[in-house]
Amino acid sequence: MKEIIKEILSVVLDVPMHELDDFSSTQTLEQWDSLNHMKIIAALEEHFSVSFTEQETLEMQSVKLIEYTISCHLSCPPE
Amino acid sequence: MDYQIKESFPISDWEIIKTFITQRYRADHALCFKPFFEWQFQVRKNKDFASIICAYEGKHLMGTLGYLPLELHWGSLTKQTLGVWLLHWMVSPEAPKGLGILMLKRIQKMFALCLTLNSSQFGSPILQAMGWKYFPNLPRYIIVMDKTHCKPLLYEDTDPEQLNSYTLKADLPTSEDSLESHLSDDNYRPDWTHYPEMQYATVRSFEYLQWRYMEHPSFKYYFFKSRSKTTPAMCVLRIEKSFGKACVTVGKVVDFFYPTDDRGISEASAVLSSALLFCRQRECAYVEFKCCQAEYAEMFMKFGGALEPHDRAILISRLMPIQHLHRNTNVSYLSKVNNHAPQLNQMYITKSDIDDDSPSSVSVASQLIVLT
Repeated sequence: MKEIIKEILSVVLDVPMHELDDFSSTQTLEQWDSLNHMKIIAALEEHFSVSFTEQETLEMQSVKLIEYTISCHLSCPPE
Repeated sequence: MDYQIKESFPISDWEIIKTFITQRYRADHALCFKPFFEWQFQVRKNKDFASIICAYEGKHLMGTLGYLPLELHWGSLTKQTLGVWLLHWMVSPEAPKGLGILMLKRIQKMFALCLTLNSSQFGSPILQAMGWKYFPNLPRYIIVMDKTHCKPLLYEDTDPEQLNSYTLKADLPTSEDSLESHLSDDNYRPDWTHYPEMQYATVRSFEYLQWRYMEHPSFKYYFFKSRSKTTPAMCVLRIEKSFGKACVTVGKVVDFFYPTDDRGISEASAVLSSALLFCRQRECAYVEFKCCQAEYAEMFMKFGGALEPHDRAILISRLMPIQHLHRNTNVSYLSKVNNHAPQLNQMYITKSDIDDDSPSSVSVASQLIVLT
């Protein structure tokens, strides 16, 4: 799951995958602005067939938090 | 972190939003003048709530998006559509990414027709990415009344000779007997089917004009109206006095519309003549009219006015205080009402719509300046 998350971020933010890790976040990546954040959310929803609440949307500000939130939706433990 | 987005703001929490405005803008922003804030967000009408989408982290206000629900004509002059004008969209730098867009999405769920003026360099790309139509410039027309008095207001290195292209070229009447300057429900009930140029516009009903102009806590507006109740020609004007580097008086036509039949055109000419005479009597250096509706702008230009280039100003428009800036007024809308997607020149939008004609600071907002 983490690799898929990173792939989506890589495409939306135009950042090489090898530069992304668990702690990549809106604070560490300048390209991760509001608009790109919403594009990431939309892509994640489509890929994982889930729908995030406003609360979740605002909490998923890093790779780690995205993985955690999706895991909760899919009821799978994080890798 | 507990986030909440609410659809109104209680005026009882005034100090919270005043602090937020101070941090996002500055301490002397006009919205920090409570009567102006209450008028702008229709607090009285909303029974002590401001029409502002507010985003909170816990109890901490992190973002706002003001909105004004108004009736518009949108492709039909017999049917009105409830739309919303948006203003003051801002988030705290500490806010999580996506907060501003979530507020926007909330308002887009509430209203099928959304419009705004003056979206920022940050907001415009987001609006466009979300499917909004965007027009970078609301045209500005100018009539120069006195070239000498215009000189302190020339933008950068504009050649004063350029003012010749904008100079008043018409005779003005000596009296205004055929007009009315008082607006009431008894003398103003337009039949909008006679105003085809207003088919994409905020409905200029008496109730709207009453709120927008007569109840304004900071500005005084003057009405020039032909006598017809159902098909009047109408001009609304504000006189502005600059301060700062020079003290110059300027006229700002904020609304000008009329039925485009022969009688309407004739009455419009009389109405505008009187408005310009009013400006000249008050020694206005120039008169401006910002409007995207070509038909009405054409009438303005018949008096000698001309369109200012969109890429550079001839005369500055920020006067209180004087600021030598060039700033376009952009226009954006998102419509899910019907399949109508009007171009800018099909709409009727002026400086009066939403907050393009607003006081610049608390000190300006709190002094109701009446130039008689």
